[in-house]
Amino acid sequence: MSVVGEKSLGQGLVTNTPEGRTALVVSRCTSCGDVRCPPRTVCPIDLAACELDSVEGDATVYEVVRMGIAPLGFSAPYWVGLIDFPQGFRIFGLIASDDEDPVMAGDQVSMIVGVIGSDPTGLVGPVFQRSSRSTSPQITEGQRS
Amino acid sequence: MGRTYLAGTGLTRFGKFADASLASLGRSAALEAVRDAGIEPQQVQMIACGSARSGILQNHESGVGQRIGWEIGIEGVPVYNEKAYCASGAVAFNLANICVASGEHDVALVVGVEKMSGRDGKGRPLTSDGVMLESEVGFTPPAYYAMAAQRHMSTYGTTRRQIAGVAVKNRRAAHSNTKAQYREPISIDEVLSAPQVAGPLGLLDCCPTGDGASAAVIVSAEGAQRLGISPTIEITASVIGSGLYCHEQRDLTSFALDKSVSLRAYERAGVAPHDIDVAEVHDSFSIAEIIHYEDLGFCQAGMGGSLIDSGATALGGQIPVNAGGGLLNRGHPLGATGVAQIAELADQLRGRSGDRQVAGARLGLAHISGGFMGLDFATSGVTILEARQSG
Repeated sequence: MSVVGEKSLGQGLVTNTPEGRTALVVSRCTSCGDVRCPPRTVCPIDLAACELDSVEGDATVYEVVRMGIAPLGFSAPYWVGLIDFPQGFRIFGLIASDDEDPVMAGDQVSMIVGVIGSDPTGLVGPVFQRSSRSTSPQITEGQRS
Repeated sequence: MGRTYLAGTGLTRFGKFADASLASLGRSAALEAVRDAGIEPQQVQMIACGSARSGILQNHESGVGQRIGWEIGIEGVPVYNEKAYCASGAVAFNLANICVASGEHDVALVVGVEKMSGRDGKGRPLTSDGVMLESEVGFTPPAYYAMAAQRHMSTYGTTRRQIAGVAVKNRRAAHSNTKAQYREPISIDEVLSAPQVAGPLGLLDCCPTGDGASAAVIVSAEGAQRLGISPTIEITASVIGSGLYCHEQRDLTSFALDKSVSLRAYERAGVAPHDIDVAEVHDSFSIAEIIHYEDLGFCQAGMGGSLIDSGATALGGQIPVNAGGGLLNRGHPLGATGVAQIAELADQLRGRSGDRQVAGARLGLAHISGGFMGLDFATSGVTILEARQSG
């Protein structure tokens, strides 16, 4: 079983903190402090060197969609979305959700490490699960039609 | 930089052709283009060829342009093979245009080609080359556009029926396009009831994959004179840009890269959005066309849904968009699309589009988006063509 990022980035996208918690691997600029995921070697803002770091804790769903037809390696339905971290970066990620109580934009999520895709022996990586619901009004399915 | 002219175009049918190959498709389109230009293949001085997935799908990573040249007797000339996702053909066109405008060559052949019908995972969404990490966790292009659709709906009140209206409009336009992959009319209700692909988008909101090729001949004024031809379409702008990766907190209701590329194109051509008579716009997904209306300046931000309702972008409207059916219906063999858009515009500007002719079309704009990188488009391109009396 491999970790998300090992194939595409050459390094896994999740790690363990010294305290044994799971965290997301990021880069932090040694000059301006800009944080990015996937990690950068050179800061895109000031071209200073970046160093690897990790972040944990809640993030906010910017947008999330239910996939009704899956690409190879996945089984529908599944949910994906864009996740905004308080450190200022945004990533695309797999979101744990269901039709009865779907995760919505604005919800707070936290990261766990889970199986990615439909091959239980294939890949593990970050999965975001709701930690608290947004109190902002959301668009409804009725409005969408 | 000198002036450049579109002397001829060629386009195969788009669809799923088990017996076709990259070589046979490219040969057909290229021969049609050189004959349309009134020249011989051996008069071509360079080839630029766009093909996004020739390697992974056809075991033909390098040399697709050389193979097509070989097929039609073009030899001893520089050949450039471009890979830029859905914009591969458009980038090849841009490169050839620069080469001719610079004076390095004065007759260039551009070919866009793709064969996708035999791919693994037929009926499933494609992944995207530029976002390997994201693809590992389930990214597909329809997911990105579905998120954009939801943001546009929640921000501007764009309705699901307006989004479906793009698919219906473009299918209606494709009805008379004998080269289109899908031509049978569809209704709003059929779009709304089609199986869900991602978020609010269903199967009829998504472009198909398939096989096809397109080609164009670009000449300079000197080249046209030497060849004894009189092309009537000037290429007044051909602009390409790569993604704006650094700013990640982008608002998905608008694509900033398209705005910047189109502004540069309008400036270079010396025209404004309201001057455009007919446009080919990257409608890989129905919502994309609505957002592109806004980013290309055809309407204000948030008014794309209303523009569809008004009929302005349908045949007979103020600015017909995708009069050949668009990617949704003509089809989207990735590398072929960018040059197919140019071929469609050329037919419009030369008054040979038959039932889908836009009356008096003089200025045409083609827009394409290609791939994803850093959660933005990897490439976007805008081309502006203007009908002239002669080259």
